[in-house]
Amino acid sequence: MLYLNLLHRPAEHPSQREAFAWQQQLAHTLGLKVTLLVDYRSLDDAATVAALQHDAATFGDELGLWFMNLPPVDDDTADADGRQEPFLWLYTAAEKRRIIAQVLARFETVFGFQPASVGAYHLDAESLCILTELAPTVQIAVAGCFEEGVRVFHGCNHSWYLFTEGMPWAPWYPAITNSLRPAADETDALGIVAVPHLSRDLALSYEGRNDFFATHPANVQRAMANAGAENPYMFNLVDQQRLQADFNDGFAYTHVFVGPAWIAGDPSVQDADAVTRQLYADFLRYFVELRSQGEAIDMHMDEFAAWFREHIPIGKPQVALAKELLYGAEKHYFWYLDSACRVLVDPTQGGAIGDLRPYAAQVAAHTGADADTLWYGSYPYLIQSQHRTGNSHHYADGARTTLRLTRHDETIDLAHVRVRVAAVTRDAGATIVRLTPATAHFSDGVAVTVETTYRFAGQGRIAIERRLLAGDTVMAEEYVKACYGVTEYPEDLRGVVLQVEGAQPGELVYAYRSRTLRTAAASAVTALIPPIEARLRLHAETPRQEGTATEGYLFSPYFTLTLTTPLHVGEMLRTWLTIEKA
Amino acid sequence: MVDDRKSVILRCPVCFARENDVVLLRDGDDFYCVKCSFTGSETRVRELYADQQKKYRWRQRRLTLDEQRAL
Repeated sequence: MLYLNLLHRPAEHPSQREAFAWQQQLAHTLGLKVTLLVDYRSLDDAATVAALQHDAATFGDELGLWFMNLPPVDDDTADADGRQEPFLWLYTAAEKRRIIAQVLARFETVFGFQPASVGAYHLDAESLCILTELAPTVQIAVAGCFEEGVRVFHGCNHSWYLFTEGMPWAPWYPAITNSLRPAADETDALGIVAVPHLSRDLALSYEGRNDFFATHPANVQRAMANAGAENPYMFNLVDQQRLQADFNDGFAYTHVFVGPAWIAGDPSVQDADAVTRQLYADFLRYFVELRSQGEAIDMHMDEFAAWFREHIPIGKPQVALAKELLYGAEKHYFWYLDSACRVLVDPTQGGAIGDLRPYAAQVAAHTGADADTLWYGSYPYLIQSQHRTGNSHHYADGARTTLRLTRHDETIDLAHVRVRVAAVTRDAGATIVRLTPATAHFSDGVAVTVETTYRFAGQGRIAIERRLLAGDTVMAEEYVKACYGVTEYPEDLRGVVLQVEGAQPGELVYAYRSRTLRTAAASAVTALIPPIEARLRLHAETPRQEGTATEGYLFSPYFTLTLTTPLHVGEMLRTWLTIEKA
Repeated sequence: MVDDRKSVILRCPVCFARENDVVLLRDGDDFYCVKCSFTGSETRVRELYADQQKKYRWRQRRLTLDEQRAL
């Protein structure tokens, strides 16, 4: 079942009022439930308020708050023209409190109640804590944009300072210390439900701009992925979300949130208004078609919050199998997240981990002028193969995992063998992802076939199983190259501690000196990353012939952990990758 | 060319190929980009847009849920 939240926001300019009315009429004619998130400035506009009150009274539209067009900051530091900061998440804690209080008061004065639903492109934990303190009615928030950050910053001419990478792609329970991290339990939870702003393409928003490939037709128009009024990708994307019900006990979610500007003569939209309106009408009609087939349910945001609380427990893993739907690459990606980690498996690179976020480290963060992170709300990564090189293409490889097969002095990297997701199974204890077999061809004609299975066991424990199906004995090297960061630029790794456990245990403190710790009979290799209080560990159930932990250098700022041992045909090696709070 | 709107912003097709939105400026009948060295007419801009769209091989292909399951 697909759960739909359809959100509209009112016209910010009188010239857009007709467009807003058209959007509303369209949704009402189709009988779709609408949540209206209203910005502060609109609360002062009598005509807008009257229209909103009419739609709430006549059609039952839910009224909530959208934190844009904020009141001026009333403090001594503001200059004569007031602060220009457009978004709540970039103010200081004290300013956030003043703004939120003022906006809530105005909302209550206008509508006579406090909202259950709120939103912004990003609502950090600090803002949400203030919001829920001042308005205990708040049940649900639009809190971030899945994988929005580096790519959109570049794409918007380096002028869009919204960094919320590393968050869940679907509704979650935000943690009290970091709204983009799913809470571990009730005590860790902020007490509300969070939803992403729009539902993003689970393949293309990892590879490129998330604001090109999302459940807003204007995003797809921005990418020029429509052909006038023909836009099958829009429906394909909804079905990509629907597909996730197969792996999440029947639950799938889509978030649609549009303002009126894009259908009101916005000069940045390449298509005519008539075409754009047709795109939106067709888009909404698809949800009605799905609803009539019993495949979708539209809910107000507050309704959805109640449903989510009743049916989805805190800590329940989310998984997604993404299939690329626009370039025709027939690629697969597999996403997994729980309260300990978020992991992306990239079968096109042999099943490498392409993105790893250590939620278990519980990195506390909020944004704002008084925050250490300033605008970087993104949850830090240990691996991000798009931003941090991944497989080697120029100088050297970067953050990634792989399996390297060596035979007669010839090594083949499994990242060069394309596979796909063969099966996803879930039970109470684990999520199991089996990939199609990868065949590596050695220069002497011998083909070695390896099947990889990931077993996500919760608590930050991931079993990587490599089964040698056919070929010849190889030396199998489980390989993890990582770092930490929030953008595409490297962070300071000095102070990272590398350890090897085995016949020759050792430890070094990272100083960019290219040193390698090496042990025979290796049981584990570990990296401790103090700046984000995370520990990344690769360990074997039975000792491996060799284990290494390698320090990088300034031109290759990573650390590498390996466990190597012979693998014979018919055997399976299970290696545990664990992510813990240090 | 697109419709009867009073103005339409064109993005630089070269920068768009790098997934960067840069608005073209007008000089007479031609347009130019301040971030790269592209110059050209609206016709040329739209030709290059069409070239860009070729990367989306499935732009006009509907993939139903069942087809995605099989993909």
